[in-house]
Amino acid sequence: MAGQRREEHQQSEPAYETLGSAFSENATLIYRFIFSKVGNRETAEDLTSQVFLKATRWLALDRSADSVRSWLYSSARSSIVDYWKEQSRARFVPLDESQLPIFCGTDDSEEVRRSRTRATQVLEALPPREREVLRLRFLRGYSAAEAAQTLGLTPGNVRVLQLRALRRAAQSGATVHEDGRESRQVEEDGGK
Amino acid sequence: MSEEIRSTPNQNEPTQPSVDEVAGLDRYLDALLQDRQPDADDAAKLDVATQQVAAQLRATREGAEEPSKQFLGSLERSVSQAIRSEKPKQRKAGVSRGTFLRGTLAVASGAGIGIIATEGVKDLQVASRPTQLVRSGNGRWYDIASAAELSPGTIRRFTAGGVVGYVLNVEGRLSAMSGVCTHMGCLLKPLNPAASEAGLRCLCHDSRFDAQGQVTQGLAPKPLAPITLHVENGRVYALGTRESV
Repeated sequence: MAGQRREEHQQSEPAYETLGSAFSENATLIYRFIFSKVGNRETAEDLTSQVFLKATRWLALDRSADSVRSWLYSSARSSIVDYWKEQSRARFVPLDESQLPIFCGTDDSEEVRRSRTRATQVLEALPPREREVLRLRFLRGYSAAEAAQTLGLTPGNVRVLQLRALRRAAQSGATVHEDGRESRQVEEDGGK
Repeated sequence: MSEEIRSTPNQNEPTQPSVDEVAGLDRYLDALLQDRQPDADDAAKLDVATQQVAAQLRATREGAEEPSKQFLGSLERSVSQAIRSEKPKQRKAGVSRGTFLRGTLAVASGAGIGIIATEGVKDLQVASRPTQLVRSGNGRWYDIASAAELSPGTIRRFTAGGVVGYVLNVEGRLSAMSGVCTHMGCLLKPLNPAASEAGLRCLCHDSRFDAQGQVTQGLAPKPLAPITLHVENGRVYALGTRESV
């Protein structure tokens, strides 16, 4: 018993040693992946923590580096899906992950870059004024008032434009991957 | 088609957005750009596709997707802590029933929980255990229940001075642990009594703890601290703080 107690006190290193490399290699990748899908730091940190803390039981056993990574990615993906489901709960639309424009790839290492490319394409497809508003807002991090000053508009104009622009972009994103409602209909019928 | 006219977002023709929607989206975007989780009310006014486009655009900004060193550091600490508390459980799993009780007492001295046998233990020597919630020198014994009331399967909340805890009877062994979530300090609630396993859950972020106080789900970074129990003349005493809040 005394021996065991001592062991508890010296618990600082060994168990974690094997996980150490898995953690440092993967934490940044998983965080970036999640961030590219949820777009805010607070949520990305929450979800990344969830993924890793859920993983501890599993990671305490010996695993190959590859299987660790793919486990983490699939856990991250389901956390992201859950997050968006939660966001949509206030709306009346039931969500099915296959209809989310945000999930079109499963090759995760490429997914961050691809989602960036998609965002750029979405911007390109907008009318110039709307595109400019979103550029200033998202890429420069301007507030609506600052963007208004740059473009010679009122802040109210900018706020309306950015809403229109995002809705238009959301729609065009959805049509690329088929319209949400239609594809859901097909899925439901196909499943029965 | 005609009945869909009222649903705005997926219409081909953009409808005139309301003042409320316009202001809500602006606040939503400000939150994203300031790395905050957007307000739920603002988010609720937007359809998910719009929120997702905003998220993707947000992630497009160069460098935005890098995790902060501070976050990585604290996550690494939580993960390593969680793994360490995972280890004793795995060790315990291999122990035969005969040696189980001795095993639990050993665990109790470490990362586990204060566990005593209901019967046959008159006065448990209370050693100074670093992981106990209240150390013997600092506390006071509170009578929290009669041993007879705490039949197997019971889980009951008690206060002992400034301590809020739960006392559990799992298969004839009594134990007690802190009733405060190690994540953000909310009070815990027992899992549904119908659940096959006794445990606690946090109402704030849904962290879960098993009957040993170990985290089984959620953001809680540490197991629940054990509370020392003592059974004498059929009464159960918990070691709490001298003063009350």
